[in-house]
Amino acid sequence: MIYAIFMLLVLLTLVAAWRRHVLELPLFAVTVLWVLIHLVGDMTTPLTLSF
Amino acid sequence: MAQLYLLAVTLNVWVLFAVLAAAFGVQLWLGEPPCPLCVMQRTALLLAGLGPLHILLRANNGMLTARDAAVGQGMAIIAASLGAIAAARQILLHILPGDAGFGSPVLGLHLYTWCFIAFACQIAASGVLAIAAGFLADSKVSWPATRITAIAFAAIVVANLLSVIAEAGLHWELPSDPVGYLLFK
Repeated sequence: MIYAIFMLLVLLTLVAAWRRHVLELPLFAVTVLWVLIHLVGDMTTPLTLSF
Repeated sequence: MAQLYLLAVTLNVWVLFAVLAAAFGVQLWLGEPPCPLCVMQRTALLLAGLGPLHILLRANNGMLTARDAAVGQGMAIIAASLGAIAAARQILLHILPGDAGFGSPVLGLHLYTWCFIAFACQIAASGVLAIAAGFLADSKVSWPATRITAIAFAAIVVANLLSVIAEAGLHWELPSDPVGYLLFK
């Protein structure tokens, strides 16, 4: 589900961009940071995402 | 100059669309569901597309500004850097001699290697377009391709969303070596 949430955040960011909503950049930033944290979590623990 | 800039930005979105569509093609044609790191690279590709789309959608009101162009290129560079980290991580997981890599190679390279190349190209292209943004004078523009480009991109986002829901089912994480779609099991 976490990856579906990432995609949903991307979709929400796109909708915000389309409507020129003020939340566009915050949504983009949250998505990037969350993906980065998830990735760093994978790198700093035993192989959990892929092999 | 503004029209040329919007053409370049539109092409950027369509190239990312093509990369994502090709990944989908491999997924469906070869029957290889994407692994978690692959999905993260797809997410980064989608995020990278939001940068040029930001420029297109802001210019849709008839005015292209250097500020909007700079913001959009910055978004693309950040997202592409994130994707490059994920792709490099996956390349390094399979760097040892004798490792066959993950998934089937396409034109001799695995998808994560192609992804790394795509992200590197995106960073370079966005860098060039960010420099070009410095020479943009705020100008009125009319660009009819924005709507179809944004709709196509939204469609590929929704397709990826549905794909990952089908693949993960109700599980929080994906299996590291997915072989099917958990929603249908």
